[in-house]
Amino acid sequence: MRYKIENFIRGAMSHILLWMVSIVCLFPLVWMLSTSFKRMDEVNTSVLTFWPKEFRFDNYVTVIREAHFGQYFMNSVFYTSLTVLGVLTFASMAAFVFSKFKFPGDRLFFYLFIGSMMIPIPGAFIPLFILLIKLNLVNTRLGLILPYINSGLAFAIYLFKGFFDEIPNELLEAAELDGCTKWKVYRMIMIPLAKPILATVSIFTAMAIWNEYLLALVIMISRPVLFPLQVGIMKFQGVHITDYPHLMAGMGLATIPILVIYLLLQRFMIKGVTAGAIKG
Amino acid sequence: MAEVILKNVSKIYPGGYCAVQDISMEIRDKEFMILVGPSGCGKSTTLRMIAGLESISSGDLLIDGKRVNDVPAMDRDIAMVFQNYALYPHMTIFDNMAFSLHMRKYPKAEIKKRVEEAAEILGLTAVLDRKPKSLSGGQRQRVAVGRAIVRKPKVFLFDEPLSNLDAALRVQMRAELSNLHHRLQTTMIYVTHDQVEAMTMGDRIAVLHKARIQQIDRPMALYDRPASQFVAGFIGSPAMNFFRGRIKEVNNEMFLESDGFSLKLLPQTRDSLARGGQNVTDVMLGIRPEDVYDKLFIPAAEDRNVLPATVDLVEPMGAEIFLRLRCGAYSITARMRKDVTVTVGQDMDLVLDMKRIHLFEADSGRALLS
Repeated sequence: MRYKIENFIRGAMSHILLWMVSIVCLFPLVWMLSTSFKRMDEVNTSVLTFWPKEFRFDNYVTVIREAHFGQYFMNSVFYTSLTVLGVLTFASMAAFVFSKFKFPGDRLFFYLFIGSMMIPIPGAFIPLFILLIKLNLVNTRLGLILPYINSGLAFAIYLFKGFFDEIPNELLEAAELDGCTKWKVYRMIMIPLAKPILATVSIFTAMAIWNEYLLALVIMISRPVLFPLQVGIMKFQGVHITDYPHLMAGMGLATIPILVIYLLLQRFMIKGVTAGAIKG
Repeated sequence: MAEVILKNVSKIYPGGYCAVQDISMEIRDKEFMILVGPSGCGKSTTLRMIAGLESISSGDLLIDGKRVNDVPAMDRDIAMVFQNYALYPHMTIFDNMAFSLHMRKYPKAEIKKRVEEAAEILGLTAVLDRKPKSLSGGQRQRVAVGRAIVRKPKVFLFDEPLSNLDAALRVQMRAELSNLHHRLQTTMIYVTHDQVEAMTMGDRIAVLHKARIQQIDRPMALYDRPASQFVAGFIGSPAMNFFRGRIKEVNNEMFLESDGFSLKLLPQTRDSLARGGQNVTDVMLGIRPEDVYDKLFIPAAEDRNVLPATVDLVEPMGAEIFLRLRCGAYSITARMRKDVTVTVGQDMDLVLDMKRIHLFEADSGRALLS
């Protein structure tokens, strides 16, 4: 009996904790959605209301029609998809080499790559910006995509290598005896097997790039036409006054693609994150 | 069809570890050669060097008379079956078997024909559309063999292919692989640490120990005439019994004296020893468990050659009984008929079949009887 009560209390406590964490995580999202349907005067009143007095869907229409939403959205899609593609390509190749080949300094190079995770992008802004100026890449799409790819590589290599380490070498040797070159082993054996990691890296990278704000603002300093969505919708934020309903509507719209990608790939993602954790 | 020749082949890894030392052997066309030895003896490394998966530090490897030391694995026309099957998990069984032919750009019709033929031989026709994970261990091993068959390679290599299977399936697959060899009439090189597999499957066996070849011979020749104490102890289950002793000659008769007993050697043993081990006095006597008898069944045995022993363990095997006995400082295994009734702790008089003894030089382990 005592055991049952203890179990019940323990279960109840953990559920309460999980509910609290969920509320803390979900509240900003729900608040964003709620605000996106409000009128400006309703937001600015001194009385805070959670539920809008009336649902103003035209906030969304305004954002889409008047704020170059389509253009910013397409910019973001372009930056995100090319970055994801770049990260998947370079990280998987590098991880294949780090995992399955021996060469002098292999460990040192690997730890150098991984060590770059310790440097936050803002910490490298000034040298990066100077470098991009010298390469004539400031205010260009390439000037944004290249640092984006670089920023995602270290973590992606780490994930890919962990996964490739678990693939038995005999599989590669069998492929070699079957007539595969190293390149074909990578393309025809390693990559098809790495689907869970491809999905995981895609989601992590896409989320990071889609939500990235600061680097885009710095690199595209004088070409607003190339802004990604996250920078573009900030036009609703003024110096003295911020148009919260439209800003929130824009942010709500910006959230949809990443949410869809996550829902589509989440089953792979769980496999990818736990890959190598359990001997199967 | 091909002959594989290794001439003084060695493998030394960076850091100086020598995995294979100065190995020479000729594997004849269509021969089923077994490489057997304990873990770390260099058998798998030798196989991997033949496959082209390991570089050769020194020596020559010839396939069909052509030196292939520097020929990449894919161009050696060799197929290999791995211990853990090494099937491609993302491909169907058909694609697994067809993969090497696709790589070599065979026409689709030819690929289909070959895969279906191999599947027919191995009983895999019904599972060609399935993925490896849905197959049993035995089926996966057959797919691995099928993948090798479809290529019709010059040489088949097997690296402990039955180790992951349960005992019953291992016996079945052993027979299947032997049949396959008779059917395909191709050179096969098979690595195992299991001497039963080696004895039952191979045309010849190469026994490796400490990176060197100890002996190459036919299975029964290895069993009956081991060239060293190591081979004598490794081949045969239960293993050969060994006693340390000294050879003494008294009144023109030769004796082996050990702790607590003295054995009179036969004249033919003395003659043979004179040829192979002159001046050797410290020896190891080896006797197989089936050559140890209960004196009750050998009434004509000389009293001099009787070893008093005590039964330590009785292991009924069905058709026979294995007895572990204590004889002075030594432990002896005897293989007895199943109708022998003995109990643990019982005293027994043992008689050795002196015609079947083996003598080895105590220091080097070299066989002394020719």
